[in-house]
Amino acid sequence: MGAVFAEPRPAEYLPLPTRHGRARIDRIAAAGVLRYAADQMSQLHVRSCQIEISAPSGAPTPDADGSRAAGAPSARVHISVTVRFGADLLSATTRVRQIILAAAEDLLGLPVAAVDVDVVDVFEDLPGAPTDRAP
Amino acid sequence: MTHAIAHAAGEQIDDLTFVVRAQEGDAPAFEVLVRRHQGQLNRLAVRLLGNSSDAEDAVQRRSPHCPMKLCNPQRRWWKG
Repeated sequence: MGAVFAEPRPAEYLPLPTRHGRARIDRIAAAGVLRYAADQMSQLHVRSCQIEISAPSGAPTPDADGSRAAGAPSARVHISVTVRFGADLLSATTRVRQIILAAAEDLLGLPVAAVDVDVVDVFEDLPGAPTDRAP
Repeated sequence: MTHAIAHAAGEQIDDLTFVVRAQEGDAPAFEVLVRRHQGQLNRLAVRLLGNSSDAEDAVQRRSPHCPMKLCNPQRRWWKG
């Protein structure tokens, strides 16, 4: 199965804002982190998660410890989700946006300027399926 | 980490979601698709090729190409 899992496409990296030296993360890995965070919600499943980097604004965006470089690039995240039938869509999309923003900042150190959320489908629970994930 | 998602919630998530995830490079999503449809693929191959040995060989030889074909849905995965 190792050959099946080998990613044939060339890696794309997202720059991480650092003051000293270069740091970057594979785009697929970063998207996987955000997808995992959002998938903890029981009300939705993340279908697509894509990250694009916008050009540096030129304005300094320092961290509390001053470790972030001036003019750091910010990201825009596009996600599409399927939502449990009957769930409050506004609440669910607001919550998933908050989770993406927090995960990008806390787990990746990547400032996110915007999160676009598309609800592309709804789903119903299968009979007997566990629903033990966080709301 | 993504393995954990695929294994914990995979049975509740529809195929299309896993196809999109696989297209975006999420390998565990492709693993779920393979596990879900391995039996159907094997049965189809047996019907087409007439014996289980050739069928198993054919499915295994085509599987590594599936992620790339998923990225280009215009091309059927079983063609070269």
